[in-house]
Amino acid sequence: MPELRPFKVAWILAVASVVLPGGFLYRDLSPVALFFLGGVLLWIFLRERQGDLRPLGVRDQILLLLPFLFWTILTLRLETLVVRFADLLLILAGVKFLGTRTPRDILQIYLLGLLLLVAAAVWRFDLLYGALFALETALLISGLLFLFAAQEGEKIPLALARRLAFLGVLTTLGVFVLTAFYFLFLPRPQYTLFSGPFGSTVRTGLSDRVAPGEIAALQEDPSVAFRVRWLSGPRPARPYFRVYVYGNYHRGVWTALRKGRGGGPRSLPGPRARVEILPQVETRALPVPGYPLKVETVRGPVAESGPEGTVVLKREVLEPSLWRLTVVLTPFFPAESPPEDFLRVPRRIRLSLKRLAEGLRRSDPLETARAVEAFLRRNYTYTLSPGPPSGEPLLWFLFSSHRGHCEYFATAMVFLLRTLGIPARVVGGYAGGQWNPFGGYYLLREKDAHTWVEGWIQGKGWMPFDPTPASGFSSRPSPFRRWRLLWDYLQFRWYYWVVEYDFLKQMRLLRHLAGGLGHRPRLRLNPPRLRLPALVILLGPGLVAGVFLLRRRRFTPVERLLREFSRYGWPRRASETLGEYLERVSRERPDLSSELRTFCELYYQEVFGGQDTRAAQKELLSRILRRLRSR
Amino acid sequence: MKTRFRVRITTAGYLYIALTLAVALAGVNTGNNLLYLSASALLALMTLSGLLSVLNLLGLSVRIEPPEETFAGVPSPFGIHLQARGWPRFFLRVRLLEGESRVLYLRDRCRVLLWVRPPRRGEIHLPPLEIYSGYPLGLFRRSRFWPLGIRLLVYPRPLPGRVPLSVRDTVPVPSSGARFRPPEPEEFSGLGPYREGIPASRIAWRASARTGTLRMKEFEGGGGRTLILDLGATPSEEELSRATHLILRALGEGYAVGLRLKGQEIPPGRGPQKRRQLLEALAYA
Repeated sequence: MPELRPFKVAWILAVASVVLPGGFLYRDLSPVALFFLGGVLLWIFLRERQGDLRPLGVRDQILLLLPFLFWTILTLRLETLVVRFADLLLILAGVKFLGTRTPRDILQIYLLGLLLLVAAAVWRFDLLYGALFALETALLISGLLFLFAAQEGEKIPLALARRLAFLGVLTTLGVFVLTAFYFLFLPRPQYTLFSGPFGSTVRTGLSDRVAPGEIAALQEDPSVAFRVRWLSGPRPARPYFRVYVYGNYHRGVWTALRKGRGGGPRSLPGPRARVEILPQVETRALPVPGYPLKVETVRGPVAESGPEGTVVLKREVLEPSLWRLTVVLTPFFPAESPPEDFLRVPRRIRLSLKRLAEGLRRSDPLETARAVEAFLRRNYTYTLSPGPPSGEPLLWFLFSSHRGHCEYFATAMVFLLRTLGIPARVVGGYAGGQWNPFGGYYLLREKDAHTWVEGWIQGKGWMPFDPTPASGFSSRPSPFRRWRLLWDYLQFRWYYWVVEYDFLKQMRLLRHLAGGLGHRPRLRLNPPRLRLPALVILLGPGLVAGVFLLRRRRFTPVERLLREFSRYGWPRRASETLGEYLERVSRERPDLSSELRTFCELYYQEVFGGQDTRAAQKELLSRILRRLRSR
Repeated sequence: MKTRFRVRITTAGYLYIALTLAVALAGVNTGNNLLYLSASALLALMTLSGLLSVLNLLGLSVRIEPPEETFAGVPSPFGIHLQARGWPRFFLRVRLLEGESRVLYLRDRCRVLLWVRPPRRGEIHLPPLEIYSGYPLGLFRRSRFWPLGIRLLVYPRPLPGRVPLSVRDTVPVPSSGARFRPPEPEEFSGLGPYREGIPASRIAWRASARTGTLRMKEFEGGGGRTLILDLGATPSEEELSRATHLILRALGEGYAVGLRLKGQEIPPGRGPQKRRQLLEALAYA
């Protein structure tokens, strides 16, 4: 009957359970840890092929670990605490791979893999974490099954091994179902003791202080900045999401307005839309696809109306957050501060632009603005890499290079209009985005960051203009576009239902389910009521440890010997007597043979001769184990 | 038959529970849902592990087949018939007293042999049969106990060596204690199971080969040599053990054996009935 060594399978799965999270986190982990682990595995592979792999003793393992431990302590910083911890876990796993291969060692390696998975949860929130979680769970469950089988028999029939593998898959599926249940329905506190200080490290492409050239570098970044879920209302074909309004220009740098919070009207003509904003980056302001009428903070830092129809946050976003906005989709924005504030032009620029601006003057401000917009679109070229400007960036763009990105175009139009006495300002945000029909939301990427212009049209309000021409080459739709959108939709669902699942969503889900049963529960938790569960959680481990210590069974010397030897890879076969077993071990470890023979005799004297040799057995066993560990 | 369950947490299980609590606490403290997810998965695995371990022991029926004779301190083979209904069972361990045997995989039915060493002579009430397993992950060890309701008569442990004077004197001397009489004709009464102390010449090899278990030829009648043991009123445990050995040996060698014990006398004879009668008298002494 073909047989299989379950221990070997458990060992392979243990290697995989560490390599998998290590590979997943390779961008974040230190190259030192990754190279160490890779080197160790390569070394083991080569030595095993040559057949002369000798496991390291515990002392050697500690000596090997010490430099890495010092390195971790020396490079420790609060913001990289968890990442350094994960590095150390990886190194520890590498050291364990070099040691003996006993069931206990393998169990410890599984624990390291599990801790790596838990550590990754602190700084990786994307859907790939979900994939890692699923794979690692499957690996650990199958590994534990085979490890248990290895403790029951050195070899098992191949048919049984196949059944175990199948059982591993079934158990994994069962665990997923139960995990979902526990995740959704286990009681959650409304408040946490502290918010995770380890947020996303991605920075938004927009800030309240930008200079031409900065956004260009970010436009090529495809990472997601925001998702704007369209809850109700008409959806524009190519919406502009306003984030900042820049009013002041000084030495080539625009600065966003900070004054005038929420001074605008609460009612404006035009269709209404309700949207939900889900950030993916650290930010202090939200993208708004119109003029905000109502701002509601569902979760995260409090959002409020900012200057000139923007929405700002009281603090930077660090944790998963959600806001709900009601906006009016109007082509004209009301003035909050006097339009005359947006007429200032640096003297040197005014003098240089005067002649060009006068040539673009038309009968009324709207016509003039359209003429300027058309002039810039026709006569200038859009590029992502205009090169370093010589002198004043705007003048260099208008009269020398004739090439630039959106900030150059927006800046040029604003100053041409201001020179002609028309108030104008630069607006920063996201243009277009990508509509995801699966999830019903706009996907705003860093590359969608854009600047455009708002000009003051007397009697109507601030009107948007976009003087930036198309880039010249139309991007061909990718054949994988639909799959990418589906992937992003799954990401979105992952964030919505897993990463951002909270007390409120749980209550909503419970109410929804209870509503289906005919009544609505009145569930309300408050911090004082959580004191008892918190106390139980805090004291629980201590109680469990106490019970463990009290109820721990005292093993006889022969039981201890069998346990310890089994850990060192010599499990006793069911058919062996103690004498036969120790003889077999003696053949592998001739240096222990005399002690083992004496131990066997002492044991037989106790059992069959009725003599009390327990103390001698204990003493001899400690000597045997000391010698075993010292190697 | 009413059975009961018991669960014990292994060292790995304690570690697992501690880890689950730690991750859950971290999840509650930070509000990080992925930590909640990890804690939920750990909890789910714990639940499923408990469920699978119960399922592994449910739907089992047990039948015990005790040996014909058991001697104190001597391993005796107890046959355990296991039958599993429905789903397959994995990595079961069957235990009775100190005897233990393992079943790696059980799909329908199987028979395992437990070598049980009864601790003392006399009538003992067999403790419940325990079937346990750390399946599926070894985090918890769940046991199920089957009360057997079997009262087992354990004979004294046969002790070879020098027979104590009080016993030995009865063996060869016709005037006191054991008396040898002229051999009487023996009658073959049939085949029986092999018993402790029977010489190899009495084994029916053909019948043993045919049935797969050791069988021996049984004889009855008072023919041949006779041995009567006189153990007096208060024999010691050692005397009983040595007498047991002597009886087994003498019966095996064709003697008709009798016994005087505590004022009662068992007339000499041979055969399985006599053997049982003699050993029972020693067991109850």
